[in-house]
Amino acid sequence: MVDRYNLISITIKNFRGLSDVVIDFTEDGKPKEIMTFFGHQGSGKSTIILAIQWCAYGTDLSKKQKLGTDNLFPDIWDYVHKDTMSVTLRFRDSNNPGITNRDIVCKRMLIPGRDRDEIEVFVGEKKSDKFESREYFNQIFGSMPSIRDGVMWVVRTEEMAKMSQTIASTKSSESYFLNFMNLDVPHDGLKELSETKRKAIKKLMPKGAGVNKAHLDHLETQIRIVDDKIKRSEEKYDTMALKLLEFRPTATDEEVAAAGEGYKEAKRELENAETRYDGEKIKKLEVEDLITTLLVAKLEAKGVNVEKSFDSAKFEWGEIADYLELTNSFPAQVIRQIREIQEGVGYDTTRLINSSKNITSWLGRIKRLKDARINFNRRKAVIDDYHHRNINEETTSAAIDKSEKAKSIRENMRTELENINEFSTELKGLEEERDSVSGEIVKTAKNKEQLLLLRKEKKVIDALINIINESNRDYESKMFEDMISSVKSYWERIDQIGTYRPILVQEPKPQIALERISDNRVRYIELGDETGKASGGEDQLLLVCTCLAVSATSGAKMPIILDDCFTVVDTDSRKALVNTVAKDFKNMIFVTNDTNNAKLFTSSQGILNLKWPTVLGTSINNKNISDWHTWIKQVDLND
Amino acid sequence: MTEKLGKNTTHSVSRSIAPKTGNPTYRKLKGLFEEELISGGLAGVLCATIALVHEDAERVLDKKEGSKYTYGDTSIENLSQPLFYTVRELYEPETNELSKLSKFIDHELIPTGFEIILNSNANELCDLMIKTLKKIN
Repeated sequence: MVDRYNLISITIKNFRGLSDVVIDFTEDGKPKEIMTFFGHQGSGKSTIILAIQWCAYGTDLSKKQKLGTDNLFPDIWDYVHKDTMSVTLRFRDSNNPGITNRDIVCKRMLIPGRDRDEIEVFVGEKKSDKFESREYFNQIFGSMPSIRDGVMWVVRTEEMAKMSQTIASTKSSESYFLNFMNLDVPHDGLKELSETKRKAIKKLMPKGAGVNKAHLDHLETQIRIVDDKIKRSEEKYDTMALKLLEFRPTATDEEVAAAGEGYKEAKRELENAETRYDGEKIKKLEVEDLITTLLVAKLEAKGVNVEKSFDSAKFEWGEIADYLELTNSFPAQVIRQIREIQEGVGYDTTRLINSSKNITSWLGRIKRLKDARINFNRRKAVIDDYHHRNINEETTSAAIDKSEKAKSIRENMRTELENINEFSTELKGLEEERDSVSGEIVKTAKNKEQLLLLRKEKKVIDALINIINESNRDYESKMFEDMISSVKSYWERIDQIGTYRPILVQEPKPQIALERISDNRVRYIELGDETGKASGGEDQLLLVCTCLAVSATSGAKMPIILDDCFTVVDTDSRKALVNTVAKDFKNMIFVTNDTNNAKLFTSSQGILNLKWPTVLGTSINNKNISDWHTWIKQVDLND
Repeated sequence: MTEKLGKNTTHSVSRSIAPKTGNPTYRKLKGLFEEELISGGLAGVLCATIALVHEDAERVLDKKEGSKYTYGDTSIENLSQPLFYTVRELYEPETNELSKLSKFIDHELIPTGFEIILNSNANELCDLMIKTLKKIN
């Protein structure tokens, strides 16, 4: 039997619900062989076990795993690491339980701000360096198991389930058993090599010379077609380039085309100005009034008061006076005045007087006329300037037309250029493919030799893989054979019923089963559900025995931890189990929430009664850390 | 001696502003009129009026002998009276001699007015009219 270490004490800081807990496993300075953790569900038993396991193997990189940070941190931290988390285990050589100054203290810490946790080992007072520390960890806890759920020195539901699948399943190609033992022989490298050879063979496999030849002919035809397309496009492009020379707008054309809009606008403005000017021009019927208005304005400017007078020439005023005098009806004064009219030169001033009223309106009119004319002349000057620069409707229209044509040609040329590029790319691809196929045809002969060689190599590799697989199976079978003797040994010491005995079944693959002694009938462990719990007491006992057998050979020197995993095993067998484990492993932690189970050990060493004070309720998960800290100090070992 | 102003009068004007032979530009008063003047008489009255309102222009004399005065033009029947009245009031306020006034118009005012039209551009003619209508001496 391998020398083991006794667990002397556990110190837990900031681990899940435990803020600062020290559990002493000694009595009178000597280690207890058995320590029972008793407490109801949720009282913290499994948390202590998990703390021990974390100290052994550390934080899982996957946060959500059982040993991931999401599970390890106290709830009140809310997934944020706030203080150093640590678990310290103190061990003593089980062969020398009285020597205290050589205790090995293994400590694991997770310090805030650091990604990885750290280990620290003291042997007595001496602190080990990192390398030595790792060695001590490996020596005590064994190497990290492949299956994270399985830790052979902890026997609990998870390990039982895995073990159940390992020794009972006939289907699984995975060997949990070997994984538990860290014994799986890696042959992935060979598989990889075989796959590489397979791919190389596939690559070299001739696709058939005939097919390649037909492919080559097809490619040559395609190349000719695409080549013709390129030539046609190039011809089109050249034709358009020549045409572009004809229609390419000169700098003057571009200037004229660009001035087109300005010219049109200027034309519109000229037309408007002309319309306004025409509207203000003096009409035929207005000329007389303008003249009389100018005359009367001049007269008024000269201070002449235009009085109303009549044209004396209109009547023969002398004859009228003679006639009136003969009638003796009019006074002599009247007759004289009428004669005076005849003597004077009278001009009709009616029109002058009437036009006098129009002076203001004509003044406005002439001003507007002048403005309209000036505006018209300015607009006309703008147009004249355009015309001087040879910009007119015809030239701008022609220039724009030319520009549009050139633009259209350019666009067509661009399209054709794109076609040429596209065809060229296609041609290049086809030529590469043609060259590749040609090369392939040429290489086929050479490839044949290489192919033969590769096939030979692959055969050898595959043969090796087969051998390794067979070796694995043999090894597994051997392991089962070795294991079955150990299992049988535990079974014989523990089983108090005597109805069954463990046997190794080799076909179709190695399995551990039970054989009824009375009729040699084989009973396989039944996988109860996904967790793989065994269905009966015998099954459970077989699994426990197997776990113990594996644990005993796993290399770990940890005390065995039995986490309430044999609930249906009969009482006598349970007692025998405990005694056997205590004897073989020298140090054991027994975890249970069953009072009767707990009482199995009252005669042994001690019970750590994880009982909540009434006021605190039933689960540490619902309490804050300070409460738990208070409570753990109140452990009643004699309850 | 008193003479009666005929109902219908026609003034003799330069060929350049006369109907048929005249320049349309002059006959449209350098573009200020929409249409050409309808008669030589009207052109004469216009020239005389321009000369009357443009006091500063150098007078041009037509020294041809004989009357330039003809009859039979109905186009100026409404203008003759105002023109003669104005000429008399401005230059010969004491005379009633129609022939004298007529000679002044024909031989001096009409040639002078035509020269003004000839030598002025449209803007200057507008300015002349504006100045007149503003009654600025």
